Amino acid sequence: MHSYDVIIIGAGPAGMHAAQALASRGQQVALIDDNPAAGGQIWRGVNNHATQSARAALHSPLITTYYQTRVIATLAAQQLLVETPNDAHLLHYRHLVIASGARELLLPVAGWTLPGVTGIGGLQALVKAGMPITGKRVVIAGTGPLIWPVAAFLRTHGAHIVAIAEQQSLPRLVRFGLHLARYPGKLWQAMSYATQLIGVPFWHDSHVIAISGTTHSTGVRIQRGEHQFQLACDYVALGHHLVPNLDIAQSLGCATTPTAITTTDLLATTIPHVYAIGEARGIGGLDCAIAEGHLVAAVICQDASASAQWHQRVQTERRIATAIAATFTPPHLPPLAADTIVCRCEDVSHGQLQHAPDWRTAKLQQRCGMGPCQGRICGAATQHLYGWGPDAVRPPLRPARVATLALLHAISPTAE
Amino acid sequence: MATITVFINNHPYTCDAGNSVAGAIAQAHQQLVTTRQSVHGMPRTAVCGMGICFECRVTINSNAHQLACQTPVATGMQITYEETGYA
Amino acid sequence: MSQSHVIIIGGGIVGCACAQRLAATGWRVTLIERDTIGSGATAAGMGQIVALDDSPAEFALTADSQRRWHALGQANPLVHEYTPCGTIWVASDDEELAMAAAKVPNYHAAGLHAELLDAAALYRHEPNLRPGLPGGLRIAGDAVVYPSRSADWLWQQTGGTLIHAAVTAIHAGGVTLADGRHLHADAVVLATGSRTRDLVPALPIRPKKGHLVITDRYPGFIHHQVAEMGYVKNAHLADVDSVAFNVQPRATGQILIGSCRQYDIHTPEVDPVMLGQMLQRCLEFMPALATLSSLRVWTGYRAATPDGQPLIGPHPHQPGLWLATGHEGLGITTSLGTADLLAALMNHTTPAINPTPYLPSRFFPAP
Ligand SMILES: Cc1cc2nc3c(=O)[nH]c(=O)nc-3n(C[C@H](O)[C@@H](O)[C@H](O)COP(=O)(O)OP(=O)(O)OC[C@H]3O[C@@H](n4cnc5c(N)ncnc54)[C@H](O)[C@@H]3O)c2cc1C
Ligand SMILES: Cc1cc2nc3c(=O)[nH]c(=O)nc-3n(C[C@H](O)[C@H](O)[C@H](O)COP(=O)(O)OP(=O)(O)OC[C@H]3O[C@@H](n4cnc5c(N)ncnc54)[C@H](O)[C@@H]3O)c2cc1C
Ligand code: FES
Repeated sequence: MHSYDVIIIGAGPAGMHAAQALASRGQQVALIDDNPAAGGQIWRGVNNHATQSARAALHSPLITTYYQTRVIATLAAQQLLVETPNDAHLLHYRHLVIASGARELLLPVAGWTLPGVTGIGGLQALVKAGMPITGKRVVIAGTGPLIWPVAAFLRTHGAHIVAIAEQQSLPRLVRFGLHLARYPGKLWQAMSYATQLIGVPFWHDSHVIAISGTTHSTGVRIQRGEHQFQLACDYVALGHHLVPNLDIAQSLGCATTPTAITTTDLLATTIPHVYAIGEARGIGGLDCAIAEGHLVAAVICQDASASAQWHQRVQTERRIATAIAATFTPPHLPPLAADTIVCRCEDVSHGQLQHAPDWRTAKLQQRCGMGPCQGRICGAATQHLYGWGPDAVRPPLRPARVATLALLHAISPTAE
Repeated sequence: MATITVFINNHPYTCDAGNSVAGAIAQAHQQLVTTRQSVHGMPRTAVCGMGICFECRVTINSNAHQLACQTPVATGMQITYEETGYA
Repeated sequence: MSQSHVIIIGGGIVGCACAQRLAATGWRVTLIERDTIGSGATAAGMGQIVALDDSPAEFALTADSQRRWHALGQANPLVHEYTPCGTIWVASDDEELAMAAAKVPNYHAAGLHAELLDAAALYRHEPNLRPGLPGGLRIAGDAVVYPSRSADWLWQQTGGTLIHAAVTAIHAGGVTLADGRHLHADAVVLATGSRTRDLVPALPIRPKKGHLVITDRYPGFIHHQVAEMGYVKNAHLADVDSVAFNVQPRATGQILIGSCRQYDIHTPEVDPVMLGQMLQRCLEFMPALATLSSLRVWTGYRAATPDGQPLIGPHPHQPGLWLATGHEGLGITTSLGTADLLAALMNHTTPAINPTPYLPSRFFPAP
């Protein structure tokens, strides 16, 4: 078994900065991420000064990186079972930092299973990974601050943004803009996106009613106030803001709310030796994630002055986060047709689910949530549509090879 | 950028070394294409791009159910999925 | 004559099967279930329909039930996900192969198919088994179902009343619910599986915990339920924890992997060491499982009795209370035979098989 002073789960900006700040204080660190490289969602494939220096800082003899590595189980006695592409390992930690980030909330709408319909962040990730976008017509719809940077990114890469349909009302968006104006850095960023998107139709109070196509999305129907529009397009990018990844924390027994891992001001969760930073602590954005990465290192190393300094920073960033959360509230969905698929893995439709009394019955009788995503997509949807509570989290936290789980025969159930 | 050759349903294809399997398949077809049939036979492909939705599953080097969006391409990699005749 | 009214406590596969038989023979049925129909052990069980010849009593009930499932499954294969895949019991050495050979005449005498496989035949059927095994026993009449949906379907046939509540007490002529309501009936059937002692503490039932793993879809990976001969030996082994190789092809193409047994553990959490040992055992028999993707792990409780047979029939000291519980690791299979026995006893008609080995009175000293 490999043992580390600190294991960090998630190599996004929060985890990367935590790793670097811990290593600079002499800690042996393991940094785990299921992606092939560090960067998380926002820095995926981005090459600028900030990302280059953050990546360079990971080249430390004190940092061991585990990429393409999934945490499969959290175990007694501060152990983790992780799976790499060809192997599995048991890792031991003295401190654990959860920097597991967030995922996009994807909600069902007629036609959303057609190839060509992706998440908003999803489309960006696919393009960064090689998918051609030049000359493609894209409609971006949903809600959340992710819409603008992604739209700007896609346009810079040659996409034709047909329209952006934001569900929130104009007054709400204006209030958010005014709030941002208090933070010059954020305002500047927003302005730069706006400049890049000049000429792109932006519609507020709008949402997708249906996506058309037989084997690929070819168009989308949008409700804008009282009116409906049909737009032709190649891709529809949908997203309803972000939801934090809470499963690792829940598996450890940490208290969580639906939108965050519960922590103290100094990032400690309710379980000893376990900390949470970045989006997993509540959606807070890039600068917040970076500040919390530094703060957690200072806290773990009991560096009081650095803690005080970074704590200040984190407080400021979290105030912006609160404004974001208040603006981009989960949307109201248009009523679904009975044949709209809700559980994509098992093809379970709204009609099969709408009269089920609860998640467990829907699962047992209709197989809803039984597929490989294990409710990561449909669980959020059924919570939204029917108010069903989520499943208890248990191992494997991600689908895992049988051989990986078999490794558990060798663990000592209690301790060292 | 450096390029490498992979095999997509047995056809050699040269793509950027930094691509994911999902990106390489899309590049080969100049668009996202159906790479999976759902349990009721509907066309599906990558959605979330980040390892959550499991819609992008393909067979890589004979291992079924690998996530195309989370797997970087490698020289000589055999990528297969059922071709359905869908675009 | 007005219709007699029966209250059934527990909407697992056994309670639902009894409800269906009793309704079909003229009873008005009320089912009380605390969770949802087909939860409990029924939602956890492998759903193998298996004829087992380890004791005459077990053989009689499982063989009778196997035939009933065949009829039900053939009529409605989609509802039950009925897959007549058969079982292959794998012998790990010549001694086990000799045991297998000795079983063949038993099955034939009962009118069931059974076929001894030599090594070549074994690998023709299941090429993913590890090399070097001497052979096995194939029981073609065994099958696989999806128990939760079968339970729901059986319940739907009754036209009865479902009450979503927990029973807190059984009294003469009825039951008390958690909200204080009293319900009355001519008869009460207790079908609460591993939770039986909550309501009748004197019954000799202990929970035996098991773990299962389900994989993604790999159609054609295996063709039969495949289990080691040692399974039965291990399963009935006295009070020690045990694991055995036991894999099942689901109608979906998924592979369901078991099995293990732990006594008197009441917490539902996955026990990582037990899970690891179980899978390690399975990999010894079928190394190709190693790279399959496992989606989910869960646990469930079998309701074990001291002699391994269920309790079916009247409670000897509580008139009006009937028992249908204690089905251990075979309750999906034996639910249909149980329902026929219980209904015959309650209706004073002749059951298909001799009810004596299952009567609860065997655990009560004669007054
Ligand atoms: C034949 C068959 C095939 C199946 N196929 C699939 C499949 O393809 N995919 C799939 O996902 N599932 C599958 N299942 C399992 C299915 O999810 C459930 O049927 C099973 O009962 C486990 O329940 P659950 O996972 O829904 O547990 P939950 O609903 O999470 O829990 C079950 C009960 O246990 C309690 N509980 C509390 N804490 C724990 C804990 N730590 N661990 C366990 N239970 C706890 C819960 O409160 C609840 O009452 C299959 C089951 C069967 C019988
Ligand atoms: C891991 C595992 C694998 C198995 N594999 C197989 C197999 O392959 N083949 C096979 O034939 N069998 C198998 N079994 C055994 C089988 O699952 C059980 O024997 C069978 O499901 C028992 O059904 P039941 O209706 O008696 O109990 P349950 O399904 O447990 O039903 C009892 C019901 O009673 C309800 N209840 C309990 N107390 C109260 C109360 N006070 N008030 C109201 N409701 C109450 C519960 O909520 C539950 O729904 C397996 C079991 C396990 C655990
Ligand atoms: S696209 Fe969602 S997991 Fe790969």
